[in-house]
Amino acid sequence: MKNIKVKSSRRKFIANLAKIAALSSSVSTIKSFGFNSVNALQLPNFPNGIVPYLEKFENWSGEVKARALWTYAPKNSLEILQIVNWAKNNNYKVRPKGKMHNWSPLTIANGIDVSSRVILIDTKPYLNKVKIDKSQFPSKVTAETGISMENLLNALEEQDLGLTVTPAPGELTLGGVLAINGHGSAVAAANENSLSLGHSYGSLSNLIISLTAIVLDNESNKYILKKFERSEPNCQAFLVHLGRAFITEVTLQVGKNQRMRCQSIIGIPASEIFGKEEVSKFSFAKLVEKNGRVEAIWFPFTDKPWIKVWSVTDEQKPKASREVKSPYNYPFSDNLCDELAKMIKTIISGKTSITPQFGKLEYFITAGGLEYNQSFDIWGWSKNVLLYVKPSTLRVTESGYVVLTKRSNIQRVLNEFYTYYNYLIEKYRERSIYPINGPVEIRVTGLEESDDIINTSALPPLLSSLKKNSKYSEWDVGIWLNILTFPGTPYSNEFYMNIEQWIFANYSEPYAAVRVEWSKGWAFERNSVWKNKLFIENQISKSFYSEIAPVSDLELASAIYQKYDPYHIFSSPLIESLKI
Amino acid sequence: MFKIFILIIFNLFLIFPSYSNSTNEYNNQENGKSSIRVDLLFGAGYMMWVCTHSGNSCSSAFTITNGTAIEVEKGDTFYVGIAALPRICDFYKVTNSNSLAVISYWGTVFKPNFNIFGDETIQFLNRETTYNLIAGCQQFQGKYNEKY
Repeated sequence: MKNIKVKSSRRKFIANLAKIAALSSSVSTIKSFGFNSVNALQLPNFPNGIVPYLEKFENWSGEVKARALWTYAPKNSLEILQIVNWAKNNNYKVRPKGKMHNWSPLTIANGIDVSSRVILIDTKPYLNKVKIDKSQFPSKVTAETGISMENLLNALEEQDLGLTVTPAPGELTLGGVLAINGHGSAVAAANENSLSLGHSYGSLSNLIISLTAIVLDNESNKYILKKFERSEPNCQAFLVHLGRAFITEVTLQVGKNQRMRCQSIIGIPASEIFGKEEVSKFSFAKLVEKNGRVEAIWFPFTDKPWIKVWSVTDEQKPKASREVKSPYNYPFSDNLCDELAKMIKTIISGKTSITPQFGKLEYFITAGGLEYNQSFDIWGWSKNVLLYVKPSTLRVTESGYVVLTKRSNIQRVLNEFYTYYNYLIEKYRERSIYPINGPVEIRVTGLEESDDIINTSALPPLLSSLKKNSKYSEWDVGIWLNILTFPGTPYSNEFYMNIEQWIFANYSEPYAAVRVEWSKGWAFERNSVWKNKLFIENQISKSFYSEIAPVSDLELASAIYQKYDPYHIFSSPLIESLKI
Repeated sequence: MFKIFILIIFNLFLIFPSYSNSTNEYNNQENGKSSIRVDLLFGAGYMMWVCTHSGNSCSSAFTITNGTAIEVEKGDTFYVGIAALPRICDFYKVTNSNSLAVISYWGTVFKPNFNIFGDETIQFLNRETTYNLIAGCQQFQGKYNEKY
């Protein structure tokens, strides 16, 4: 610490200590981690009036932790600029911090501390203003990126507006969702025309009309705010940026709010839901064909998945539905019962052989919960049926991939996955190994159709997992494959590595292609995740390359980031490994 | 009490419909027919069967371990019979072609509940009950054929 220059006078030193001591929750964090006052003064020449504090960072699954990092909640964008310019001059990284509801270490590397020269910008407390413009069609919402999805959807609902695609947890910040092409589960149902209402079936990023990013101004060599219109080529890299940029505000196209119904089905066997096309009329693809919005949650070692099917209805409540006036209508999945908690403890302690019973208990709780809470058939404004995951739900880790293909291939994709997954699980079970104790989750979305943005020559998000492959214009869906398990479950990374290799080998052109789901687990090795260099260099790069384009999307995005953030202020080791 | 118990056993195991067609018949052709699947959810341990063609063509009995699927045409009425005492007969009408629906039963044999996924394809008409186990649900079929 001797090489750190502290330019404070004694009075300033004492004042700083007082400020630090005034930080209630953060102070307890500092004390508990044994920080001393010397560490607390590691920010030389920090802008006046801005008082950062030390705060713990822990991501959703607890796999990325930092005991205490410099953090600040700016009151406006100008304060962020001050910090960013200070960071440039002092060789610090600036990382936006939302709800940390992410798996991959895009924000920070696991285990770093204050010596890592990282400052977190907590966008939630103040950067959450929202403004709605309904004067023209389609309507627009301009929001600061720290706003939570739930608050954004509430504001939209008040103006009779809503979204078709949104992730299930309402706590996520808008900025976090856009950074990693957050998505829901929706393609058009038969005879549906929500596009004409201003909706889209790709990721939320595809709804961006314009955005404001923090970029370097070459003339002044200072970071400034710059607004990008969606039609501008450079905007493409900021629509989905993985944390390689800092977006302060976005304007999204939004559609008329819709009344939606969500029905649960839990009696159809996985062998039919994921069976070959000819096996059953009650297949996943048939449900998608009929209703467009489907999700499957298949608990381990059970034979019947929990299927949710959403449908757009008219203003009249379907007779059999229960009207819901707020989100999170599956409380049984958001709160752990004692039995489940005990089993989890057992599994975490290494006794994974109870996994089959654990899966059955999860199914039992779901079935019983749907009955008890009368949640089989719910209806209400879109937000109230599209948000259904609370922070109190089971925190697990997961791998994530999206298979891009034609809609007519949905069942084939799922059947192949189902067959291989079963084979692999059985292979492990024969050795009495149970690496996977959470469900398999399946969702289907549309791809990033630029035409969905009305009245604008929109360009696609370069780094979106849902970006269309220009060689295969007939591909129109993304099939999301997620496998969940408790962090640290023995052999889980090995299992993930095996299935990752299979997924990338199996879904190949011209039938399909795979991209990683940025926010989740990928690049597995036998004992690690996000560290498989060969995978990152080959598979991920290849997945953003089209034979008919001169350069890959990753290279294109990288050039744009280099232009606007040559100091790599907005970066992290994982982002650097992607070479963007 | 004992007599009632005997009657229930009798009802469940002896007076079960002997006529049946095979379960899980699927036809993937767009033939104007709709597929209806009947599932028993967790907690619903009763036996049931599904009858179409004026009650003359019934599925095999099935329980919690399996569902059954039937092919029906728009305008058909059919019933789901539940082997309780009194016998429970839920009548449905098919209102859509080339579609699918899932009826999920849950709850106890004494108070079975159900959800319908695909209520634009089938419409629940009414629940009948009868102690006449010989005539069974079929005795009501004529009434629904005429009325709907």
